[in-house]
Amino acid sequence: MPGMIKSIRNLLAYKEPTKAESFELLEGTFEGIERQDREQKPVDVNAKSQEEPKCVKPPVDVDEWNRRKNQDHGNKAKPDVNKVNQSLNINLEIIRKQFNLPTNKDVIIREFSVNRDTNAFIVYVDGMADRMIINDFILRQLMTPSHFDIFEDGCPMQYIEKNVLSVNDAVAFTDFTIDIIPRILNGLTALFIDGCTEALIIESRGYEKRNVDKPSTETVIRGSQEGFTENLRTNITLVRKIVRNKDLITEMLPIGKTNNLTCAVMYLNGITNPELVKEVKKRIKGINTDFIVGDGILEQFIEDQPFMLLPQVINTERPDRAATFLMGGQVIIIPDGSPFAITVPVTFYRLLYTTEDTNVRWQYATALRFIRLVGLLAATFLPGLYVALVLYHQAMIPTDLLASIATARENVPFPTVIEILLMEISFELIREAGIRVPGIIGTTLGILGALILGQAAVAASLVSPILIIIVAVTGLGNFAIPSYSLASAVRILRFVFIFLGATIGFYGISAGIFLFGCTACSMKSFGVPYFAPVAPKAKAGPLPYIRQPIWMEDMRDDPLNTPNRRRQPEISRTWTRKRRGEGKE
Amino acid sequence: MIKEGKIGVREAVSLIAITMTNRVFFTSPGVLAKSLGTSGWYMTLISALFGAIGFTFAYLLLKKYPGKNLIEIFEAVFGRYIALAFIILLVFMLLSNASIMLREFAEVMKVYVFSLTPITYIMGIFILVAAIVSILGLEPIARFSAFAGVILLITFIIVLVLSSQNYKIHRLAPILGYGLDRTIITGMMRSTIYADAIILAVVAGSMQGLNHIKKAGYLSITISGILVAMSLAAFTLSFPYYTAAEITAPMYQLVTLIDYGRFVQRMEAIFLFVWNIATFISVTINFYAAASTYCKAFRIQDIRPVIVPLAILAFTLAMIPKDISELTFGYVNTIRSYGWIGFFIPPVLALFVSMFRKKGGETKNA
Repeated sequence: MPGMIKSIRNLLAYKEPTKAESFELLEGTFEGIERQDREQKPVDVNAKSQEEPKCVKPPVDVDEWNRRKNQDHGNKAKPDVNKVNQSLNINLEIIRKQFNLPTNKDVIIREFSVNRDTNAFIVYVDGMADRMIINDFILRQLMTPSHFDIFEDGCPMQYIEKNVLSVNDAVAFTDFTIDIIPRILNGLTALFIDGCTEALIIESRGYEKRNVDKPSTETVIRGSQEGFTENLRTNITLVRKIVRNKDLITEMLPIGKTNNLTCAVMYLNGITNPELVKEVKKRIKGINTDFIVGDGILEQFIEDQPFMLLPQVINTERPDRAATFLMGGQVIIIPDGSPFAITVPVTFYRLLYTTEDTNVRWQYATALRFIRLVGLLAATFLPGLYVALVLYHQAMIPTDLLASIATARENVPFPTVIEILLMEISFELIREAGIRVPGIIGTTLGILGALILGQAAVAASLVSPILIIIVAVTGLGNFAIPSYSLASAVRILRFVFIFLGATIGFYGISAGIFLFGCTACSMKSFGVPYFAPVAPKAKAGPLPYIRQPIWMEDMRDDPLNTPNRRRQPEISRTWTRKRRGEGKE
Repeated sequence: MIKEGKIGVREAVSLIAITMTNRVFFTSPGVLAKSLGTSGWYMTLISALFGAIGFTFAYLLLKKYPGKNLIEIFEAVFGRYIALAFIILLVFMLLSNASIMLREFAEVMKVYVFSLTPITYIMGIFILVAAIVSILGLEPIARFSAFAGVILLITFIIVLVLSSQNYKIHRLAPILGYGLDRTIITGMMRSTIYADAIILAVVAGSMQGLNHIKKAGYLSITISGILVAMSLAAFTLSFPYYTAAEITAPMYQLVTLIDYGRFVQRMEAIFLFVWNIATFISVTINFYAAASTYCKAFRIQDIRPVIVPLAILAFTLAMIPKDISELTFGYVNTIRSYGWIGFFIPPVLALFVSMFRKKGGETKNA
């Protein structure tokens, strides 16, 4: 009871608006250079990479080594459990404690002697690491004395890294919590040697993964047939295979404090607005939760307005689509373990585009986009309009149509709104059941369920035949929407408009359009207004639904404020100019 | 200061033009037919001209005090207390505009569409939506107007073109109506419908510079002048002026007459959406401008606490007229004929006082 009173008081009482930090992708120093002939600042990716902190520890001379060793001996009383200790036993104890050994059975510790005289051990997660690499390229190399012929004295870690191990990547680290343990969990192998204050992390990932397959939710007739898989490395490679550009940056960020996954943030240096990249990284780094798996959870943590119905990112399982977004100046986020990439920022119109739009000629693409728009409008408004028309505005229906509707409804015992809700809910049930039922039966259930249920309902005079047409067209319209999230939003909105239409006819639907429209217009996706380039107006083609001929699409989207807006020169088909020139001669 | 966001010229033009043009859907064309006969369609161009002159004074005032909105200028010119009187007058004018438009809309809806629905129900839903959208701020309303503006314009023109089957050119005669002098005086008096451009001065901080305000103001007056003139002409061409005077919502009536065979008829279903959405935009922007002015006057940092009381006030004001006759010939006619005093005179006075004060100041300095 006191809780309820408090809730009511909170609802009614005035609260100061919370000063949440908002992000706007404004035109500024990074705004695009629209003319190619203008001076363009060269972007040196290598310079950036040089600034990045190097993982490899610089070589240390003998005096420095001894000094550190003595210093460590001085502090022996209090060993730092986060740092790699000189004593192998302490390191072994830390590892055992951290991985809950011996209870935990899938973390393997293999103790052995390096060069038959120095104690050492390796740690890896069984199943995540490739046993062949461990056996043939780590253990065999380390246990063969001939590989240590030229080794003199001291910590052999650097010697091993340079001369012994024949693996593609090995880096030394000292910190357990930040560097070593997350990497072991990721499938790498850690090598600890007695007397060394660092552990060598060796690339040995080799877990089971699905092969690259056809995308199942974004099928196209013309275009690539490759889809993302659950493996992050594979997904990054699939994108890199398309965008073979030195400026394509992939940054790895940790997500999920307990499940320790990583996600890749990909963008094109020099094309993507640096402020946008900064914001994306800020939001991902700012997630403080224990468990994230897949793009769906990550998306909910980084979106601008979680209470809005419309999606604020685009999810794609197509590497070619992801590459198109990258080239357009957007940022791609690929979480490990998910076959979908998240694209930000997004505008409403983008949600109605597909990869096929760019693969077919512009006339077909424009027609297809209009069909999708009609589908979207039908899926959102058609049932609501039908209810409003039948319940309130009979005078607005042409006489012949009115007679047809009246005849069809003659024997139906339910009010129109119950009739439509009955059918809509049945349709949603068939849809949901079709997804849950495995394989081919699911499709059959969908078709049979819809056909039999519809026909039986009409035969039993529970619904009118005209309503079956309305519900069927609505369903088809919903399936025509390319974005699953947008389609889901439309499914909910449809019921809202049915309610509004049933409550107060066209007036209610108009009120809903105005209210929902204004709410959507107030939305931003990573600082970009949701209805740009129409509201607010930005430099763009004739209409967002009209796809221009590909050779006329000279500019990147203006709302993204990319540093380099121009995609191609005004005359991208240079051969046309040559031909004219030849004609003159 | 409340955060209002930024709007561009296109959004501002759509917003103000829709607000001005919306009046043509209600009872005003019928009242004009009664008082002017056949000359209503060009009378509105005279109104637009006077509206543009009125806006010019507001623009000159904004130019004199760059970076300030109308409320801040009033305070700078008249001092806080005298300015408060002018600001409250402006709040009252904007709120009255919203309330009267709301009641007019509800009455016309009741006459043509929902004859059995209680008027409070129609108005209650309307004010609730307007209040919620006002909380979202100026930016979403303006963006929605820009988004909907093109669709509304195309539908409006289609309706006018389809109505052409009922046009009879001889209905324009006598071209001078009840006399040119009467037309000009009425034109000047009814310039109130173009006074909505003053809203641009209220939200001047959201516009990107004076040039944008100037462009948006004149462009919206021109566009709405042409559209209102077109629709009044269509209405005059469709009905004899003595019949037109008896029609509650002539534009709606005009649409019901469209008949191109068995299927292309009864276009009011489409028109209803244009009418509803345009009215939602018009009432909401007037309501928002009233709330914004009030907040600026009393230095209220957050618009939300003001919205609910103002919504109740707007609803109460809208409930004052007893019936549609009192509303049309009393309240609507009064505010359309004399509203320009409340909208245009304070900026004119402020301009003159500021000129005088500046002169005095210079003399003193010299």
